[in-house]
This record gives sequence, C-alpha cells and structure tokens, in this order.
Amino acid sequence: MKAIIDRFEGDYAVVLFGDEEIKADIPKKLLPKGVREGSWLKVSFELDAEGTKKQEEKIKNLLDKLKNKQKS
Amino acid sequence: MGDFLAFIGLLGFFAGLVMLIYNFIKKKVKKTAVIITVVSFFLFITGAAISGPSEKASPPSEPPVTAVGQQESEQIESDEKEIAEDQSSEKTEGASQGLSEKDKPVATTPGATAPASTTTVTGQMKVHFIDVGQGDAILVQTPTQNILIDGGDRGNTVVNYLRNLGVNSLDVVIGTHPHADHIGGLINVMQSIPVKEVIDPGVVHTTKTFEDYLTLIDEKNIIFTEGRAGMSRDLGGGAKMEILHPVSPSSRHLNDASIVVKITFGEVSFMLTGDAEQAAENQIRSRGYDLNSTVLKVGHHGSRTSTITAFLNAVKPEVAVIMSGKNNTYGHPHQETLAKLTEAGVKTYRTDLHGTIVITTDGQTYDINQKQPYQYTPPKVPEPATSSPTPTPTTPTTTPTPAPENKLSVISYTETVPQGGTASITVQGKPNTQYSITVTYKSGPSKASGLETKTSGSDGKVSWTWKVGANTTPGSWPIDINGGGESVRVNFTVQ
Repeated sequence: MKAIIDRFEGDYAVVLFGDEEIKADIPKKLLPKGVREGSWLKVSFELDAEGTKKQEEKIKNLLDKLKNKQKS
Repeated sequence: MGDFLAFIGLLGFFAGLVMLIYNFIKKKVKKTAVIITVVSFFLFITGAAISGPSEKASPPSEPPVTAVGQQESEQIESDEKEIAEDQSSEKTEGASQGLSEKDKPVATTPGATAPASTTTVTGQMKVHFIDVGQGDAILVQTPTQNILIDGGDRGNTVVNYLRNLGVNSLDVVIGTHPHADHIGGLINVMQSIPVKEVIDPGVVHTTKTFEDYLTLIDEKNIIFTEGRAGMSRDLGGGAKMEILHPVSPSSRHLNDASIVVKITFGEVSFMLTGDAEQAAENQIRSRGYDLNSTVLKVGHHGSRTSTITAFLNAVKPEVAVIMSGKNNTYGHPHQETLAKLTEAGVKTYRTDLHGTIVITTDGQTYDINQKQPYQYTPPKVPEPATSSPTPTPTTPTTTPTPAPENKLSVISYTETVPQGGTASITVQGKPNTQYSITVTYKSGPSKASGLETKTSGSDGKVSWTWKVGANTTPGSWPIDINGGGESVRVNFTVQ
C-alpha cells in the first residue's frame, strides 16, 4: 500500500494511507531514515498466522503451568 | 540630439552590414562598405552615449522599500527585486487571462501602506474563523466579495458552513500551503461552489489530496495565481488584501511556504499567517511592511514553532485567534505560545474551546461573537483551590482582564538554547518571597549551579541563569518555579 507523509507535527508524522488518504499519526521514530514531508512510503501489513498461533500456544502453556502450580 | 545621431548611426551600420554581406557573397571586398559600417557604428555608439544620460535622468522605478527610505541588507534587496519581477509577471498574466478590472492585481508598495484612515469603507466586513477541528478555514466577507482562506481537512464542514450562510460564489480562494489540513476541504468547496480565482504558493507536494485540488482547479478553469509577497487585491467596499509572504517558497518547508496576508478594512486589520513558522516570520519582519494588525490568526495552530516574540511585537495585535482541534495529538496550542500571548496582553480566542469565531467590523470598531476570551493559567502543580472563580455578574465582560498584580508569571526566558549554552528566566512574583526553580531534562532535574532558591526583590522579580550541559538531550524541557503558594511552568528547547 502507498502512504505519503503530508507533514511533520512535533514527534509525529502525519501519514496519509492508501488512495483514500486515510490519516494516521505515526511516531517519527518508526519511520526509516531520510524521510521528509512529501515522501512516499511503501507500507504493507501481513497477517502472521503462524506467529499468532505460536504465541497463543505459549500463553496457553504458561497459563496451564500456573493453574497446575496452584493445584499441587 | 543623441537619439538622432544613434538612429542615423544604426541605419548606416545596417546599410554597411548589408553591403558587406552582399560583397562577401559576390566574393569581392569593397573598402567603401567597410568604411560605412565602421563609421556608422561609431556614430551609433556616440549617439547612444549622449542619449544615455538623459534617459537615466528620468526617475527609474525604485524598489519599493528604498522608496520608504529603509536600510536594507543585500539579501533583502534581492528579495525585493524578486517581488518586483513577480509583480510584472503577475500583471501580464492578469491581462492575458482577461481579468475584469477590479480583479486585476494592483502593484503595491510594501511597507508604504496608505494609512488606514484615508481609505473610506462602506458597510461591514465579517471574518469567520471556522471551527474545522485541527486545521484552518477562514471566510472573509467584505461588503462586495467572499474570500475563503483554507478549507480544513477533506470533508464537507466548510461547504456546509458556506451554504448555511448563503455564500454561493467565492471571488478568491487562498490555499495557504499544500498540507491536507489546509487545502483538503477546498476540494469539496470547489466542487460545489463557483470560484473565480485560487491563490496558491505554487510549491510541489506529493499527496493525492493536493493532486485532486490542482486537478479540480484545472478542470473548472479557475484562474490560478502564484501568490507572492508584494501582490495585493482590492476586496471591495474599501477592504484591501496585501500578500506579505512568500517570496521564494520551497517545497522542503511547506509551512514556511505559507501565503501570509494582511486584510485591512478602515482602521481594523487582520494578519492571517497560515502555518508560517519562525523562519517565515523573520523574513516577513525583514521586508519592512507595516505589520501592526488588530487581529492575529496565530501561526501553525499555536505551535511553539511559530509566533516568535519579535513577530508578535511587530504585529501588536489586540486579539489573537488560534485554530486548533480539541485534544489534538500534537499538543496545539503549545503552552509557550499561550504564555506569550497572555504576557503581551492579547485577548485570545481558540476554535478548540470557543468553536467558530466571527469578528464583525465597520472599519472603526469590531465585535466578536464569543464574549469571553480564553483565560490562560500556566500549568500548575496540584494546589488546593483557594482562588475564587473569575468575575461575578457585576463585572462587564468587555474589560480585558489584566493579570492580578501578585500572580506568579514568566516575564522572559530563553526559548531556545544550544547544547552547552546559557539559559535564563525571569519571573514576576510577590515581593520578598522565596522561589525555587526546577529544570527537568530527560536525565532528571538539573543540578546546574545558578538554579538555587532565591528571594524576590521589592519589585517581586526573580531571575536565574544557568548552563545547559553539552550532552543534555535536545528537546523541549520544563522549567518549574514554585513559591508564595503559586507555581508556573514554561518549556524551553535545547538544540
């Protein structure tokens, strides 16, 4: 997806996402070096199903561990 | 005399030249041709030399500022030349586009504004600072014209506002600069309301919003004028608009590319600054304009990056309007700006608190739809509420409220200090009272010498001076002063 830095306001960049130019304030820290007002950005959000599942398992195990601890 | 000689000389020169060329083609060389050419050339030179000085004797069109008799640096002189060029190109543009007489740009003399009192005005002028949340949109209604300066973010807020007022055409639209919170809403405006002319700084920006705005101007065949300092417009009924900025805008600093205008109606004037920041404010000051205005639309939503003290002092407004959105992410308006306006005794109105602000003037006096200006109180350390709430019904709302004499306030401070530099602050408190100071950097409270608790003199003033470490993290850091049951905070910037 295309995103454009419309302007900087303090610690934020005002970024307009996609063709509809949906506005979001993005902390400057998160942006790559060399950006300026008017810079175009390539943005993509990718679903990490595997990572999600792994973390779910991890938390589930942690909870189970804690629950079992109380029992014993 | 000289003109005649030069004319004859030029004639002879060309005749000789033709003969020479003819001879050359015929591959013959005739001395007479050479002699005629050389002699008439000298005749021309002599004639031109004699006639030259007489031309120079007539007064050349002087650069506007020198006419006012001001000392100018080279930098500014070159700026003024640019202005002069802009004016001439502007004139031809206007003529070629077949503007009606009243729309034609009038060449102005920056800095030599005719005294307001000599302009006769008829009727009323209304200036609407439309609440568009975080963004600017200002409608100016003169007795005969409607002018819209910016339109807020994309959406219908401004169109609806204009419709409700019955505005069905706009004589001039100004897009101060290409940021979406200024030009976005102009798209919907231009789609539904006829616009005669758009004035824009003409700098590049890459958003679809800006592209749509330009495309619409193109499709609707709206006159597009690159706004430059030195241009002006007669807005009808005695209202006049001067453009004070920019001269040579850059797309690298879009805020500072903002078109800044001063609109004068009789003795009441409005300084509308877009998002102009410190650099632009300094440039405007250096051009020698009469900046003094009744109302100041505070630059860049009250950000600390605008409204430098020198600019504020030059404008000397009675009223300030800050256009910002409620609880915006950027903290606009910043405390520093609010403190400065309060200190300068300027009645301040904010769209985030007041909503839409409408100022009506007959050229002599003015009336504001919001009766109670914003009351600035410096951020405080929690304190038991002892002070009684502000005035009772017996006090008329018209009196500007001067700060109570003993109220702790910051008189002056170093707004920006480089790493390793020296900072200072002076506050006004109660006489003979102890005041402590805390400067908090990223690493915590500063232990610099000079930041000791001090006792105010009989005038109630206390000053501190301290060194900022060479390794102090750059940023905006708070200075807190406590004493006499009061506290005050300002932020200063380490660069």
